[in-house]
Amino acid sequence: MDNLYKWLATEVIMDDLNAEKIWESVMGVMRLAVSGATFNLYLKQTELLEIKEVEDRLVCEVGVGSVMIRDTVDQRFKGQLAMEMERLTGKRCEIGFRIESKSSFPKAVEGQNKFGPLFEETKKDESRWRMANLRPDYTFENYAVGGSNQMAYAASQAVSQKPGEAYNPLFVYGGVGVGKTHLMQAIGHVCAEKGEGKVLFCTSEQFTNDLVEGIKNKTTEKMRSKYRQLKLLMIDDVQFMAGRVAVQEEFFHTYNTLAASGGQIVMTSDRPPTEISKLEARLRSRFGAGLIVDIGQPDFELRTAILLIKARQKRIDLPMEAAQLIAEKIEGVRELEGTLVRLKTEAETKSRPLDKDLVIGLLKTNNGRPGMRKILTPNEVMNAVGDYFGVGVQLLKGERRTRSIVWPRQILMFLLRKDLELPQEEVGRLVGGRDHSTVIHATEKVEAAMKLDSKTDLVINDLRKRLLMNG
Amino acid sequence: MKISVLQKDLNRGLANVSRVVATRGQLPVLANVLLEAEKDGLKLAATNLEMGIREWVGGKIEVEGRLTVPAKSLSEFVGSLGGEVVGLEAEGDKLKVRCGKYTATFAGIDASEFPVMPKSGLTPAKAKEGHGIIEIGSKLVLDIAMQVAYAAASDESRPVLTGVRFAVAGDQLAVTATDGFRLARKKIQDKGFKDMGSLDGLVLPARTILELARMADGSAEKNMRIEVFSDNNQVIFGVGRSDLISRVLGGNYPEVDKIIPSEHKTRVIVERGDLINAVRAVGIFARENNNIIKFTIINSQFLISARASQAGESNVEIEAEMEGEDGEIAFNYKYVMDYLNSTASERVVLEMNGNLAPGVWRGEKDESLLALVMPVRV
Repeated sequence: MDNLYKWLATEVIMDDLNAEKIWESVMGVMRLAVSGATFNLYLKQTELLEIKEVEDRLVCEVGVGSVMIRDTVDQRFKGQLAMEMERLTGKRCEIGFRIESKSSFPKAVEGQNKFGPLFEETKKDESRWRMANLRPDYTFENYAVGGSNQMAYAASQAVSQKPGEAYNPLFVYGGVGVGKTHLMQAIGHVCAEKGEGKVLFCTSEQFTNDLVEGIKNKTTEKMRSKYRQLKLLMIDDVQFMAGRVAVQEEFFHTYNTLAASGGQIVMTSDRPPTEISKLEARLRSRFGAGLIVDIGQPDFELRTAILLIKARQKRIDLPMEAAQLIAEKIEGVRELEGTLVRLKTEAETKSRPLDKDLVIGLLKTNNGRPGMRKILTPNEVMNAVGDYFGVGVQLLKGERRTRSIVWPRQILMFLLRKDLELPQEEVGRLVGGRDHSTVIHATEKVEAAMKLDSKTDLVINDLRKRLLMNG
Repeated sequence: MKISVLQKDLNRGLANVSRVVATRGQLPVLANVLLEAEKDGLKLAATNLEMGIREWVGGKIEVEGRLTVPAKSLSEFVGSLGGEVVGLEAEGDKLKVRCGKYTATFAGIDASEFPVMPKSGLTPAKAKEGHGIIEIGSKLVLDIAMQVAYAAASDESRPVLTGVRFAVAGDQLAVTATDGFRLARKKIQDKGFKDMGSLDGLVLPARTILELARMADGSAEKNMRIEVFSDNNQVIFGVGRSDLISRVLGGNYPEVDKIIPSEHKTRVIVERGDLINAVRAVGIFARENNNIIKFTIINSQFLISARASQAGESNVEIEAEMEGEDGEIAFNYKYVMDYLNSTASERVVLEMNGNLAPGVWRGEKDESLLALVMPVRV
């Protein structure tokens, strides 16, 4: 027990022994004690690498630039240094030396890869992915793969290896922030690097704008040559093409030209083609001709992995347990990123280490989902669910137990229970005076379904989005 | 300290050590040479803390002792002496030099002020983990200095690029230097290499290599001894009666193999002499225009040209063997000249992949030496 206390006491002292500060003061004294030239040459570039307490003494390790400096400092200044250390810390000090060549250089240029143009082989590719409208960090290397996106990842890899051959078109759908665009751009990066042909990423809005511009200025030819000579065309959020006849027609022809010339098409959407309303049948059937894959909401492990990747990109040293804490509380990928940024700012402004405690503090003030603070009434939820499924609210509250009504009813109960956090009895009362066990069954069933298939997940997310938007 | 040495020996020793004397004069003692009279002779030493040279000069030692005196003036004075025997005698912090009727007194600094210089003499028995003793031919060092070290960076903004990198794979030694704009690599194959392992991964300052080459050139010794202390980031070279102590550069050396192209679109083979003449001629105009010269391969013609908006322009066509696509590439003519002067091949090959990728230079028959030059965008 005694030993433990001793050890604890040592630990506390260790915290106080800020090596950098101590060494700064020692150097301050030495600067006065020796001539300027001597100081600059021998002592200026030394640093205190390590300081340890061993019994009643302090053992210090000092880093020096070269053997000659070490031996000279050892012979001429060691005693003086030790004396200063003793005066500052009040303990006997032993000083040892280590060659640390790092400090003997002028501070190295930021980023180790800056070796000059010869070594900037990515430069060429850079112009390629710039031209292709790609984001530099959206690559396969930065993509975390888990159960929910494994299939989509594999398909994308296959497509990027053999564009135009493997699955054409590739249609990726999934909810907000699950990584559709990232995955699609990753395909673009691989293809752009290979340089087999032109690559272009655009949102369906850009496509529309280009077309409108073309019609307005009578330069549709230009637009055609832009889109119809590509090796890989990536269109983000195709669902926005729904209902726009001219755009769909132009896209249809672009699609046919590309497909005929062996070009690859990748599309993303928030729902499968069959569920995009006001989409022309010929497009719908073509979308389904290749491969349709979905990406589900990331699970806890994947979220943790995503966090760690994002932290590495932002050069944040995020401990594993902190990452897990965040991943537990926050579900959306964009929110994860936002939290990470806030965490970094918090840590910097308060100059606290980025650890578990900081995360807990931040999540507390944040209270779970950011941006989800709108207060909803049960009635609004009921109307939204009824609207979504095309079922009257009275039917939802009623006694009928046909499948088409039971499922929406269960989802309604789930939402009331989870999002509005109403008690079971209250939920039961609101939905036509049902027993609380019915509510439990309903929530459990929906939860299980969400885990099993991404469709349910999508429906719930859609509903949540609507609830947030309405009013 | 009281000794007598031969003027010729002392002069040679002083000339050698004063090359590393610190010129910027941060600390007065670093502008000095350390004279140590010991039983086995006179030791001369100078250092700028990055590099140090030690020389042994045989002589008659009457009284042992140590003293430092300004290297430049002592070296110049001894150089101007004609006599046979030079007498050196310390009086306090002063050094008296006497040679025939010439005398001089130098104000010195106490030897304890001089940095401590590591001693050579590592034996296999004393070697610890990370230590190595290697013997290589002096000729090899001369080759490396001439063919590779020139390509190292001269500015200190990327410290590791001021060095020459050694890599060992089996019985092959690859030596590389680059400044980020051009690169030179020499591969040396020799079954006779022994214990080269400790050289692997070392980055030695290019200046060390150049000094070493000078030392090797001036010595009759065929081999030199290298003691590697990787734990101390230090290497000691021994040639005859001289030692050179150098630090090893730290930091990550860039991946070199990755940037050496394995294929090419255009290939030109020319006489080196022809090319040197042509580059020198058009270079006159390149000076006015950022040193840019252009190589054009078109319709089986190889053209070299440079243009300066004020001064005029020049075109030279030289005979060459060509294969592959036509092409055009612009280089800094100094880099091209540096390469052409570094190789001994009679005919050189230029391989290129378009006008943005580095041009590869090598000897027609000698594949061991390779140079990469980054083109200039025009």
